[in-house]
Amino acid sequence: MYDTVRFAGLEIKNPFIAASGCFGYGWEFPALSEKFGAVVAKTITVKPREGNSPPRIFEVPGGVINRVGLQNCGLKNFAEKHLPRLKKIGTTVIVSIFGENFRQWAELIGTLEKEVAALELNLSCPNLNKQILTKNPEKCGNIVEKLRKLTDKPLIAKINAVDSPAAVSSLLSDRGIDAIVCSNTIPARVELNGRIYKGGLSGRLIKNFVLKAIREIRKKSDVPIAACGGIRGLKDVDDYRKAGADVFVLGSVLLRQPDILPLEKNIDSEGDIV
Amino acid sequence: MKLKTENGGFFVTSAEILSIKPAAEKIFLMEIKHEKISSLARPGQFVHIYCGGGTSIRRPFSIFSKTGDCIEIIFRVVGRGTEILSRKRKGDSVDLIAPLGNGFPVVCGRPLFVAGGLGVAPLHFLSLATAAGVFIYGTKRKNEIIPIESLKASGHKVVILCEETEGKKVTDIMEEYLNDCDVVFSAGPAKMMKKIAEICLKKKKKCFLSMEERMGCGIGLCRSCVVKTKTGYKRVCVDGPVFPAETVDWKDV
Ligand SMILES: Cc1cc2nc3c(=O)[nH]c(=O)nc-3n(C[C@H](O)[C@H](O)[C@H](O)COP(=O)(O)OP(=O)(O)OC[C@H]3O[C@@H](n4cnc5c(N)ncnc54)[C@H](O)[C@@H]3O)c2cc1C
Ligand SMILES: Cc1cc2nc3c(=O)[nH]c(=O)nc-3n(C[C@H](O)[C@H](O)[C@H](O)COP(=O)(O)O)c2cc1C
Repeated sequence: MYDTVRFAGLEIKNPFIAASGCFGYGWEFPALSEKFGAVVAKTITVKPREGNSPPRIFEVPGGVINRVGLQNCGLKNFAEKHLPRLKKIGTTVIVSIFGENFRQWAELIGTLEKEVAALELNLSCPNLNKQILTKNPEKCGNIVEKLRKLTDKPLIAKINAVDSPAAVSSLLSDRGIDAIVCSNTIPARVELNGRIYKGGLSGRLIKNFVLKAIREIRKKSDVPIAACGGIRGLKDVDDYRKAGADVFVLGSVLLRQPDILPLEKNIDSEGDIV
Repeated sequence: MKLKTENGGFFVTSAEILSIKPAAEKIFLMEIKHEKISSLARPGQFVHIYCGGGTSIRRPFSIFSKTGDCIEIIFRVVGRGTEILSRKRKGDSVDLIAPLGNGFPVVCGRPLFVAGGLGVAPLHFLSLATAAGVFIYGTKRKNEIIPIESLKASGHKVVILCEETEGKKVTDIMEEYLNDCDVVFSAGPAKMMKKIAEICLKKKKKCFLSMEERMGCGIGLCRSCVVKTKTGYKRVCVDGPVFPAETVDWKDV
């Protein structure tokens, strides 16, 4: 019912992609994964990460704040246990990765590049006790330039909508990135039982920020863009298409409706499917 | 649609509300009709409901009982989601993913159930399917007690405690019954379960707990609803909600 699209040098069977972190390692429910043009697995790091202590998820009006903190099984486990299963599913496989330094990025790329269709570099996770990489565009560009030399597979950069997305996108595109995903969650704070937690905001609350960012990116560059931020219905897709996006990434909506595809319905102003 | 898992699978679907009625102060009993969910549902499993009204994520509720082609849940109104749910009426539909979670293991011998507040829900369902034992149920206030006298019909000794009027908690009296029981099942506030886990560990009683944590997807994908165990963080939604007491790491509770 959808046409195949070209994105980041890949041909994918439809323009809908499951976002990293909202769809596990991508293979858990083959009947769901198959419906996506591509699936992005949870961000993988070289060593296993246990993630943050709970609570990790909060609902706010119009969105969700999470502080999962990149809990993942580590590169070796992922490559041995999860990737073979993911590759059996009839969809394009993208794996999100995060390295703390060049050596780690290189190890991740070296181990994974032959097994996947593309790699997504998570340059914008807000849930690490470190500065978000894209806050320092020059450093980010230097890493990307070096990583570019390590593989011929498409490299996709995941950025966020608030840290100079247009400038960062142009720079990364010049340094050899094949596509941009905008946006990761946006840094936010939330109070629960008198404690303040830092996390990342997602959902329909961030849509207008992401729309604006995508318009700006598109004005400056013709890099392929995957829109990610509060997509739940046809109107969202339409808005992002008009802003210049090529494909559409479904994130926290999958927590509520993992079987949302095919995206046939619209969503009312309160957020309910109509 | 039905999705497969190692323990029977679950449905992502909508279902009809057969009845909704108050069970105690701000607590409602809702009967949901779905034959296939009901036939799969095991004690300790839960349903994940999208309440509507612009909420973003679903809300988990333990299954309180099942009868024929229905399941029942019991919920307390605490915030926006449960408030919206409480305004649903007979004949409305409810959007749910169910049944989810591992459920309680089948253990032979005489059970002791220790429920605190809404923790009564999963234990009520479980106690309908076990040998006769003792069911201790405590609440903070008197008007929060939901009627469970029917359990006496299953042969259980039922002890209801109200902290406000009796000044005692379930953990103050459970040891009286511990020697006569082979296994303890508990659900309720984390602090209560921590205490119960300590008591059972000391007395070398097998003990299984139904844990709660803020949840995202409910199907194991987002890694939000974790509890700390001695072998790392585990997901309440698929690795639990039931955990053997000795596996839980209580340091942070
Ligand atoms: C496995 C499991 C079984 C449960 N069974 C029952 C039951 O049988 N009956 C019942 O009344 N309640 C039960 N709860 C708690 C119930 O899920 C919450 O009370 C409910 O989600 C509150 O929603 P709200 O929108 O009214 O509250 P809000 O406070 O507005 O909710 C905001 C967010 O916090 C989450 N949240 C709030 N309180 C809790 C809590 N105690 N545990 C987990 N998440 C919470 C909500 O799900 C939501 O994401 C269970 C929780 C879990 C994890
Ligand atoms: C629970 C949760 C976990 C996430 N984990 C990751 C992750 O590991 N890596 C990543 O790049 N993005 C992660 N994200 C961000 C999403 O991929 C997406 O960029 C973000 O949620 C915005 O899209 P949305 O508004 O459609 O949810 C996560 C989001 C959520 C809600």
